[in-house]
Amino acid sequence: MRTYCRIAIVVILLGIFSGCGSSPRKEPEKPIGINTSDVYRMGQEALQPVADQYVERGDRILLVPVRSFKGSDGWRFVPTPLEIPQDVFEGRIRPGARNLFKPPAGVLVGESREVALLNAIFRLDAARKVYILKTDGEKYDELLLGRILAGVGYSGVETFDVAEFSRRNPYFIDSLESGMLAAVLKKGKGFERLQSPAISDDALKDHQAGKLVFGTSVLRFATWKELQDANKPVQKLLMYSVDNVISAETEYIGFNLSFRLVDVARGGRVLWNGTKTMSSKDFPRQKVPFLGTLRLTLPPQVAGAQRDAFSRTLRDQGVKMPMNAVFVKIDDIPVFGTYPVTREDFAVENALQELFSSISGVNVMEKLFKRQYKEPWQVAHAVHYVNPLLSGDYAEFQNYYGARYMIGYRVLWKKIQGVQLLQGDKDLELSSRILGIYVKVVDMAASGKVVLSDFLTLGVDSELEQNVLYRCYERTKSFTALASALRDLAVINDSTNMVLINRRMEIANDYIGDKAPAESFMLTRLLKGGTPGAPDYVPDYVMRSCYDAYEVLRTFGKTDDAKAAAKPAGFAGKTEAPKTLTPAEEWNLAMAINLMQTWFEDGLGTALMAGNAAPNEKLESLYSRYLIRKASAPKDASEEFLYLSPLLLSQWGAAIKTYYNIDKIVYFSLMETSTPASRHIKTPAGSLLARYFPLVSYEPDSLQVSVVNVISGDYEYKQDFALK
Amino acid sequence: MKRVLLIVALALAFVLPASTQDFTFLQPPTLAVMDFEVSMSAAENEATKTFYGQLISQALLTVLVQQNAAPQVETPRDKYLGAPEYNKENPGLAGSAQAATELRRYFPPIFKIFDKKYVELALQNNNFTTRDLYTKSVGAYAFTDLDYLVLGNVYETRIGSGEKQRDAIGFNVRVLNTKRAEELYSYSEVVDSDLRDLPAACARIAQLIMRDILNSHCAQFVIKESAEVSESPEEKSLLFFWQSRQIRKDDATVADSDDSHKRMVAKETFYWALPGQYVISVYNSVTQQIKTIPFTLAPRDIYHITIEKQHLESERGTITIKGVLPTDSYRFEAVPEKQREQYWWEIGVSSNPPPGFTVEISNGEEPLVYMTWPDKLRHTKDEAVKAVFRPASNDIVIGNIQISGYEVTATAQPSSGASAITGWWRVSSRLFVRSSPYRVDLHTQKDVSIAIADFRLQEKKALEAPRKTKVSFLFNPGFESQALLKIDDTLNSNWMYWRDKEKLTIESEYSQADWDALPDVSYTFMFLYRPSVSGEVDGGIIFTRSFKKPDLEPSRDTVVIIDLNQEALKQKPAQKVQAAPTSAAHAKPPTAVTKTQAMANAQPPGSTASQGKPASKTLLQAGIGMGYGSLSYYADVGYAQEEVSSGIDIPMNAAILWNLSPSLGIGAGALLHFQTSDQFVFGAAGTVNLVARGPSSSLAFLFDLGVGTGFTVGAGAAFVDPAKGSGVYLRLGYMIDWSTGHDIYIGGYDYSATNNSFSLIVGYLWPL
Repeated sequence: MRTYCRIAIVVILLGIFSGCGSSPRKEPEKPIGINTSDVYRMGQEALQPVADQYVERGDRILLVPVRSFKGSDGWRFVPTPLEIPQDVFEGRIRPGARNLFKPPAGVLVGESREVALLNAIFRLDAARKVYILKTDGEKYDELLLGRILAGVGYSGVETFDVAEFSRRNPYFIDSLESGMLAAVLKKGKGFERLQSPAISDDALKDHQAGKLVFGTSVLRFATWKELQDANKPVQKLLMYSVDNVISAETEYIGFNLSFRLVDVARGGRVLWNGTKTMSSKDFPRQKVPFLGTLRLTLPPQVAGAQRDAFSRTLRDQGVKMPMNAVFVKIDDIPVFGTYPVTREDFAVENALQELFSSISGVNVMEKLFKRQYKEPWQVAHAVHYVNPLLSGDYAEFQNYYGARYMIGYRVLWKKIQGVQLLQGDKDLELSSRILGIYVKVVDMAASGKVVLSDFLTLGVDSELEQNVLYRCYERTKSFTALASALRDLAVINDSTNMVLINRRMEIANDYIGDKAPAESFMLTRLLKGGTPGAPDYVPDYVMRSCYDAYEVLRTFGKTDDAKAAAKPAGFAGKTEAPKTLTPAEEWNLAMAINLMQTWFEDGLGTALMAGNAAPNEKLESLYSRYLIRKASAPKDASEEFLYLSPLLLSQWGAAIKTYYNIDKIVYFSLMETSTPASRHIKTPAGSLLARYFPLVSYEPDSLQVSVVNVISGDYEYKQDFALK
Repeated sequence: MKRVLLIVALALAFVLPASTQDFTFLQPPTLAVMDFEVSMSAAENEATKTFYGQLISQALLTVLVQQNAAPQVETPRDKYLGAPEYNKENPGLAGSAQAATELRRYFPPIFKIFDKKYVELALQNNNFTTRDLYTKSVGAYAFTDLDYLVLGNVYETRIGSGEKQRDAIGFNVRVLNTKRAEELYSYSEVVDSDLRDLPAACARIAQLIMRDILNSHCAQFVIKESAEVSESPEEKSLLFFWQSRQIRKDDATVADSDDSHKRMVAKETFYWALPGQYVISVYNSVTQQIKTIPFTLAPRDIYHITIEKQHLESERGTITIKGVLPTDSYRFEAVPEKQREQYWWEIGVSSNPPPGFTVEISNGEEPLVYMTWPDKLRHTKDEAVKAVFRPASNDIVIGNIQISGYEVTATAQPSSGASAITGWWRVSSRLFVRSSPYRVDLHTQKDVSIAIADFRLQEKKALEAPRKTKVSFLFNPGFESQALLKIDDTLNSNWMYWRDKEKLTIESEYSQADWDALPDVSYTFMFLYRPSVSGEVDGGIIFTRSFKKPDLEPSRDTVVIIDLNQEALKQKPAQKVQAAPTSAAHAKPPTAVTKTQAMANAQPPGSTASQGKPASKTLLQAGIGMGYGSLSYYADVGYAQEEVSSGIDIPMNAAILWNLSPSLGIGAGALLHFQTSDQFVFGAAGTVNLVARGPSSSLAFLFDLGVGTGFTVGAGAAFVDPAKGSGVYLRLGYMIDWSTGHDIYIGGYDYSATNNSFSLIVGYLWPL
């Protein structure tokens, strides 16, 4: 018996040891069969229109497959099928939501608002093992649903790995590229690659982390230099990525291709940039949205009108054509210190690129040079609303980008998040989700002089009227009296370089100096990435932070109470009258105020532009006095600081001109005293923030302006305008 | 005449008791050694007697003179002054075993020793002979200048016993007070007849005479340091010297003593000296300055001299640099010259040079001072050079400088406009202009003034078609730090100082030839920054960034972002820079750092030293423990009778593990154990080992499973130092052995044995 026991133990041991070394048994890998002829044809058809338009006879073209930036980027509007498999919903979405969105502190029983929403709008069809989104009943909060699905990382468009796909079907890329080459060879020449063009992994990583200027090329700069080598002439470069493929053996195939055609011979001018959905004849049309092709189509009349308007403004500003420019996504980076990189951003920049490229004489250049955004701590230390681009010397902009002009843009979303229902038979379209895009063209060779400042309107008036940020922009955009006054009184002239500084926001920086309850909260969020030990970048975290701040703006006119407005999402709040804000609520409100103030400033910039008093972009960091106040923080020093400039400058003089190349500082403060309750929210008096913003309104009723000469420090202008 | 002498002698004998016969350093006791009387049968004739008498007295005189000039005397520890000393086994024989000795240090000479000829002459002048001294003739002792006479007698004797008995010569020595003809001390010695040990015997007597004179007529003093001095860093630089304030010259005149009369003495040691006026000199070997402490020794006093802080204070000099405008920025580096003049005690001895110093003045702000201490001793704030800018007169006054010669080099720093721009500095390294060294000798003139024009700083000539470089640094947090930056590209080697700058743009220009020859450019930063994160660095953090030339082309617009907290975390403990005091205004955010220390600690670019030790890939674990085991077996007593034997179990295990990831390691090892009972059990097993650990956690879990003479399983925990990756572990284990050696076979049937043991192992886990 004992012997048998021994044998049994040894057998068990051997089993354990052998089990340790083996991996879980995998299903045998199934090759993917495709119709290579179809792929060849579709590759050719995808590129042919572009090639016909841009490839010139004799051009030598290099095709460069690149990894898609979009591959791991999140969605702002999560593609959502009407039916979600039960295992996905119960195994991933609901547990993920429960984990991410907890009930507020003190609530012992019940679910968070997010989980409650999930339970309410999805019903289980047990027979088919799917959860069905209820689209026929009462309207659900799409914004909140988008926040949940983005939070748990769900998307109805599955993440696609081209390398994995190609491994299982080695002929796919070859057939596709052969088709594309066929399109090119009609006029030009393509050639066989012997070495992979160097792709910068760091750039990919930094781009996904929101550090790199959005839309920067993944190609290494050195490779670009090689392409420009006269001994190996390459006139055009076609970078392409396969973003998604759906296939069923040889039955059908559909895929989503991104192209970027760059004119190497002309210094990197982007000729065409966009995404194509290609599918075989038998490809089920209802699967087209599942390919995830996303585009922003500007209405032709809007595009045409804006093209003319932009062209006219640039001409009026004396911009010499042709002009080279690069896009720099600004968005809310000056407020939040970073931004969530989403797939929608690519569609927006593609549309803008198409629009600006269609302006005669405007060349949009490829962002080959790897340039980052300012660090969050730089943004935190600088005066309010500095340009987020990071440079050592902004005068070098032209040298490294090959472009004199920066086209900065901010998207005004109808809703900050949401879902895209995967239904119908078309690509996903963004135009209905955007109210407009604020655009400013900055002359980097003229110390950041703004030569165009405008709002590209996409939404209808009624939607725009309801948007708080747009109303902030509109409030100051129409204020033309300031430009006239400055001109008439000869405070400025054509050669004056001036920057706008929001004096009220600089004074409000003392909010941080005062050890505000939200201070650590703000710094944690704003300085994320600069804090040792903190993760560099958590896209969803940034997205949710933006969401919370924007949520405040949704409640204007609906409540008089900032407490309700500033609740973080998912807070099932109490009903008693609020006295103070929690740190999270204060942060949300403070960020919302920051957002509003940036739109006020953009509006004011547009007004000054229109009045021929264009300001300069704040490229270099001018520093805020709160920095020193925060560092020294003597208890009784508040009075000392009270009478000083909000800027941290030791003395006025030529050095400021030398360093910043500015002549005048235009301070402005927008104040509200008696705006109607429907147009403001009230900060609870017990909160420190109420000292600085007792009311938060998009309709300030006064604008205080003062102009200081940086050489002498003299006030040259002071006026309190009543805004009507 | 003899009568007169006798009257005087008797009168003195009554008037001057022995206790009042006090001597001083300038009036030391005088002494003469006279020929000894001889009473030996072997020396019947006078000539032979005289020979022995003179021989032994001269031998004694010789060593007495030597002892008088020596700085110390080693004598038997005397319980009773002048008591006879016997060596019972070999009585009186010189060189025999000595009793415990004591050492007395004294300031020589103690005696003034006259030659016997002078005594004989004095006696002769008064119609006496040496014999009268031995016969105590009245008046023979009436010497005006002689205080002691050493007389003696020599006799023959035998020493030893039995066959070793042999002829010997004994002698007695007596010291007589001439004033009273009193025999004060006496000593005896016996030496072999061949006199080979006579010098040693005489030396012993001379030592005893010295001891007795010291006891009778000398005082003592001791040097002590106050607590403040003993704890001060200067203490190690102190030397102490002793000298009589005056000396008597050869012509008997009295003169002040000088440095050549200084005798080095130790602190906390008693020294004997004749009464008189003395001086202790406290010499600081760093400052080369002497403080004197005069004191007077009274007879038989024990005098304590305490070195106070005031005795360390040394004279300091100042250098005033005139014509420095509030808009100027300069750096003045003072390097001490090699010491030119040396005291006799410094010759051939390495001496401490005074510290060098650097003074930075920028835009009329209060100057910063950086000291370059020559050693690693602690230094107090008071020792540091102090600098102040006087805007009314455009002077920088650099004070509290140690007296020495210095070579001062001035570097004009670019007019940065830094005072106008907060947070950002654009600077061109080409604008630095460095002067030739300017020699300042504070020995000859304590306070020196130099006009800035005397440095002859001239702007560099403009280059034709220069190659330009530009690089920008961004520092976080720049507003809470001060910094020093060394730009070193072999052409420009400059230090810059700034504070409260978040952005620094450095531009340089090179001629094409310089550019072609230029290696990589490095920028070494030294930040005075106290990070807000754990792993604080006291003082400064140092790091270097090096660039390839193409990266510095202006069109590249290279921007380098530096997170000071991250840099601080990278600093190894050894790189912590000790802080040195500086001007009060700048002492608030940490303190300034000495350049020497800083640069010595700077790591070359790319050095892994500053990156911290990478996590080891391989781990070793080994341990030993104790447990309990029980063997079940069958005894053959005609039939199989089941028995149990229990005892202490001693297990050992060891394994080598490889980290598959930062949190998981796997490896192989072995476990051995033996059991002490009436039935010896030994077991061994090969094991598969696992270690799991959370990132940066100090707790790791261990698991092992093995098979060999049986089966074993164990689990435990290790308490690991996250930084070192090593720590102690505990393993609780079980092993079952088949113990086939204890199996028995009866009737073809196998009665097998089994041993079960439990144990706890304590061991150590460390990275390889």
